[in-house]
Amino acid sequence: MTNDSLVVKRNPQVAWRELDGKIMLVTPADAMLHLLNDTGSFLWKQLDAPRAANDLAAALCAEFEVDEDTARGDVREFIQEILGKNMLERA
Amino acid sequence: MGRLYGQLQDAARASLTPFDTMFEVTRRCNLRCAHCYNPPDRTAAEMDTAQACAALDKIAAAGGFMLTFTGGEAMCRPDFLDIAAHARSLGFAVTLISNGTLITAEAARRMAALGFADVGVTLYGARPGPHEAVTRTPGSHEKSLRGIQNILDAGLHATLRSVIMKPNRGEHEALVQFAADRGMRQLIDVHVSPRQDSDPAPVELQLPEEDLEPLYADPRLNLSFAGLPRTGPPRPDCDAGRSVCAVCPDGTVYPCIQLPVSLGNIVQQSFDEIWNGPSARDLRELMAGPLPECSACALGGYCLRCSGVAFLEGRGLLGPSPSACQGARVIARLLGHGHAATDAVKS
Repeated sequence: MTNDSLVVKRNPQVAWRELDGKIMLVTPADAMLHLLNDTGSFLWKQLDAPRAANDLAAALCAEFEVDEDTARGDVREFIQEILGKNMLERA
Repeated sequence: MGRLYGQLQDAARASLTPFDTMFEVTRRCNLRCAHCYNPPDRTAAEMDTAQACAALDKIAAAGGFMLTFTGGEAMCRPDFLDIAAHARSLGFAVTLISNGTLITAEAARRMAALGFADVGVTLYGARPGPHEAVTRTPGSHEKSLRGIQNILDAGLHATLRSVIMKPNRGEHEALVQFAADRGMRQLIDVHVSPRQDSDPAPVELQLPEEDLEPLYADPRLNLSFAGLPRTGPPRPDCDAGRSVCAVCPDGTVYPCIQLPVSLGNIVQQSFDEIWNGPSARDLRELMAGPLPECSACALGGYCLRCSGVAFLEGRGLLGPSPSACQGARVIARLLGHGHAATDAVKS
């Protein structure tokens, strides 16, 4: 379970680029190509510096018309999923 | 990378983004492979380190993402890993295609630290005999095996890349086992292209058609023809010059490594001048049209024609490609649609 105060950063070994507004990534451990959805792409772009899950949820609320609980849930899901794929690291 | 790779290629192609680049850093090589597509003169001019890094800056700014370093043998350049480090700092997903012989434990560890996405090593046999019948370099097998072990020990994702031809006929069985034993991804090809100067010599090494059929039929080799037969005639347009490009050691930009037609030079020009210049536009227009000689071919649905290979085979960008005709005959037979169709093409 992801803690809302958890601070995360991009794994510097992951290659990524934006294409048509979405973030594509390659994870070196398995050479797999990944594509983030709109929410994931937005959150990834916020991670130009280490950020806490709470801050990411606030940024999501400010950008999209979502309530705080939904935003926190989306951020938790995002972090859990891509931490598991080693795209993010705990800062 | 499969379906997602295809989707992203399609998106990049629509926006003319150079999603996937082959970057030849040198034509120098310490092996003498019989089927090599590079002309035998290995003295081609090379960008220096700063020029190569500046070229990468331009491709990254244009949206380039997948980057495959090749040669020649890239590791013949003492500054190769510095160039690769610059590529990684630009966010490229970096892959290397190498013969492995110069990949020391230290070099492999540096590649891993840089986050290389994949290191592919060409190996033509699990035993020295078949391998060195292709590389024509005694001792190269042992050195390649050492390089592979260094790559694996460093924790890099590794691919075993092989071409099965007359000199290493039958070696695919052992190579499949070799890759499986080491947890390596495997890519096996059976088609050989003429050299980039159109010298057809390498094609003489290709297996005859009757020997290709069991290789195509072997699912372990993944010579995929899923989705065939297609409906409609084959078309010349592909990703070349749209979402794919290639950079030569001297900075010349090709639409694809298989299509050695200069679009410009990345040392002397901006990427935009090259990518949206008259040569690139003419090429795209030409490749948007039909294939005059292939449109009515009964084997069109089975054809995996590459316009670059057709060009190198001397039939022109829009002409039939004898190697693709051969492949189409094999695939049609394997799919049980052989006889009526195979009479139609006898190239």
